[in-house]
Amino acid sequence: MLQPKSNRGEEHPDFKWGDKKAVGRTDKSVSFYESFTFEDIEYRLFDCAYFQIHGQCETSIGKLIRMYETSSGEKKVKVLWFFRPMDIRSYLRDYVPQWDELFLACGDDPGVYNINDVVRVSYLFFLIDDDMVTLYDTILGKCSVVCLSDDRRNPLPTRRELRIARYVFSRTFDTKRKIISEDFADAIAGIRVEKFFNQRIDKDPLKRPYSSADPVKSFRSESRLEKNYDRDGKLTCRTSPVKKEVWADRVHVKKYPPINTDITSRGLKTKTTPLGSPLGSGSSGDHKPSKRRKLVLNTPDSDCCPGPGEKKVTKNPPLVDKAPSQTSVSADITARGLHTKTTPLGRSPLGSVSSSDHKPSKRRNLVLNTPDSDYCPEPGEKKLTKNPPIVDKAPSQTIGRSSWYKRLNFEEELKRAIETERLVLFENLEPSYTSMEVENLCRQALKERVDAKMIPASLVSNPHIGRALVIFYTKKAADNAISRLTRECLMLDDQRPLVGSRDFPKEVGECGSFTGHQRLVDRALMSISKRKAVSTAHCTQPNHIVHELAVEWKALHAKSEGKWKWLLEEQAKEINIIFKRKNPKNVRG
Amino acid sequence: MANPEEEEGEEEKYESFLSRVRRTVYVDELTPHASKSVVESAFSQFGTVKEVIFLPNYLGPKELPTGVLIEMESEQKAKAVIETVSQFPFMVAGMPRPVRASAARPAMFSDRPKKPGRRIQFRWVDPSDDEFDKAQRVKRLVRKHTAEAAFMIKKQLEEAEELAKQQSETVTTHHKKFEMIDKLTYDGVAQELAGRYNMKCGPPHR
Repeated sequence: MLQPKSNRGEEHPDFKWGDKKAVGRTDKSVSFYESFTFEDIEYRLFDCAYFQIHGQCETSIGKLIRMYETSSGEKKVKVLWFFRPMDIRSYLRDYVPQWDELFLACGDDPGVYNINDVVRVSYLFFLIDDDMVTLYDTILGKCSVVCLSDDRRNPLPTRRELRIARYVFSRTFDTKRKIISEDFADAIAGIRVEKFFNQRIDKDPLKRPYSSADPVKSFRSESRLEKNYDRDGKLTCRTSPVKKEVWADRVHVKKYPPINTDITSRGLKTKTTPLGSPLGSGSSGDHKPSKRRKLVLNTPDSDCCPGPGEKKVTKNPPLVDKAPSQTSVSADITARGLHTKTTPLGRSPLGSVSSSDHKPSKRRNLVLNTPDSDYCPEPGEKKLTKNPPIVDKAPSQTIGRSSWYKRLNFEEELKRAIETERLVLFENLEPSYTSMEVENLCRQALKERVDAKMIPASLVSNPHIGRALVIFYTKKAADNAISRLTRECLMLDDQRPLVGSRDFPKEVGECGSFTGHQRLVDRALMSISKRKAVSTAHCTQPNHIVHELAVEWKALHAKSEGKWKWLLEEQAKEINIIFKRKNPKNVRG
Repeated sequence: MANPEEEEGEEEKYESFLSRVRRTVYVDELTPHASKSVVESAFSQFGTVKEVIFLPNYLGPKELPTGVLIEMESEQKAKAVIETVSQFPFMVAGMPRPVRASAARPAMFSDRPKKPGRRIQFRWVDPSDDEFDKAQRVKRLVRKHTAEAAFMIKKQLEEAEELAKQQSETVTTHHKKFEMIDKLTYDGVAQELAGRYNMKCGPPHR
């Protein structure tokens, strides 16, 4: 595919300029053109094409926004690039793009060092004026890219155009701020943004030959069919190619049919929004999001969540029919099988016909119903059958001596307890126990009233083993407990023998020092007194010396995390060997 | 036996607790000098911070960095925090040691509700039981593991100290170099030398 480079204005046999558009303002010898033909393919302005950039294995796709010939005969074309999802994978965050989705580049900051990890040849992906491509050795062929943005200035493509199109885009990626956005500014790279949207050439009899250079794959056209349109040209929902739902019959329907039975998939991907209410509450009456949710649950739908979901349905009275919301709800129902993304801009891609104040949160609450059913905490009733009957008392959560003098100052208690030797460390509890449960356990098993506190887990604590500090009333009680736990064996659920010991730091003091913070760096670079404890928190910029130092710390973190992981695995293995368990204990606190 | 209503109440409570867990970020490697307001303002860059809970360090060595639970408004925000802090070094209340963020786990919350439907069961194992022997071994193993963990923590603290010392040296030497260069340019010495060697040199600033 590589042609010999000819920069010198030699006539290239395969290349021919089309209509001349203009002559350069400053330099009269530069002429701008509207199109050119290369290797029998005509490329017009604002067509998209594949480019082969030296050093990259994947082709790059770009839009030709300017084409001209300089005085020395060099033929240049200015290209605005599209990013593939792969290129900006570190900045995608929650957004899951479609297979054929691209992102239009925007933003006017080259900032090469900032996107070093995004693209290998970063300088080419920017919109600077020297971002020119020499034609002969790079352009491969035309590519049809269609814009699906909801922007008012963008005419949505027809079904046919969509079917032919190879790629779609609806979002931009700002190279400077590194964010994906649905908003299109008025101009990108000095060109009016309307040119980037789909062009409507109603008057022009010459239809652009989209398909000439581009083999259309059949499976892609299938995915096109899954798009759903609204009458006024707004795209209402998009599916990912994985979900095979046929929407063909729903296109161009002004009013949606009341109930849709096409909901099949329950493996939904949902995003939370700041407006969403917690799953657990099914009761708030006037709360709009939950209303919508209840409504959905009431529609006859065999796929709808069983289990706790059902319980909620029966409890709440079915909503009275409300005219406008009904139709949009059914739109919501259809959207349930889809991959949804809500945006904080309030303009969700699932724009609905009716309500202009259609909040993303409602949509999302709808969709979240199904995962509920999958969550059902299993009652942990394990009986050790071949052993003597187990004492099984329901722990009374309310009664407890400590409840009314509610460990106001546990640290104080702790100090006193250490001094008077009433403190015992319990280990090998189940990590999800609460302090109350530990106290109850002591009361029943050891017949002692105690104050207990579970040690909160951290990244350096064993997730399989829970520990608690237990304060007994008297030293004697503490001693007895320890000796009894050591000599005999108190077995808890899941074959956990309780371990009691006095192995804790004798002084519970405040942590005074902290390594790793450099005062010099502070003073020299931030000039804030140490006592005030710098209140500016920030991410470092890579051009700062601090960044390198911070990266060294991060490496240290990574190393220690690896070591912990390994240690915990080994430890779990050792315990399992004793009980000859094949599968490791899977208790997560 | 708890009646079904109570159980249901428990479940709901636990559910809402879990959603709270999902909204929360566990941040550690934090300096103990950071106060609650500092942490709050630091993380409010990501979104509204609903709550900041410091985790007490009962058993660890004193030098262990502080851990804190930061509850954000939504799970999405929490995830965003974790992603950003994991990808880019984020400094809070001091440089250059960055903090570390990860998803919170239920066991980190001191005020967690108990798991619904769980009954504490226990039994005293008789020495004549065959399980007894195994249990004793497990107990010894648990103690051993605790000791190993403590040792690991100690080692990691030492490594941190070393790195800090190393960096401090680097920073001081750099600083000295810069100071020296600064002084030379200010005094005009650098310009003179540049003139002699026929090299370029910037004008003295300030």
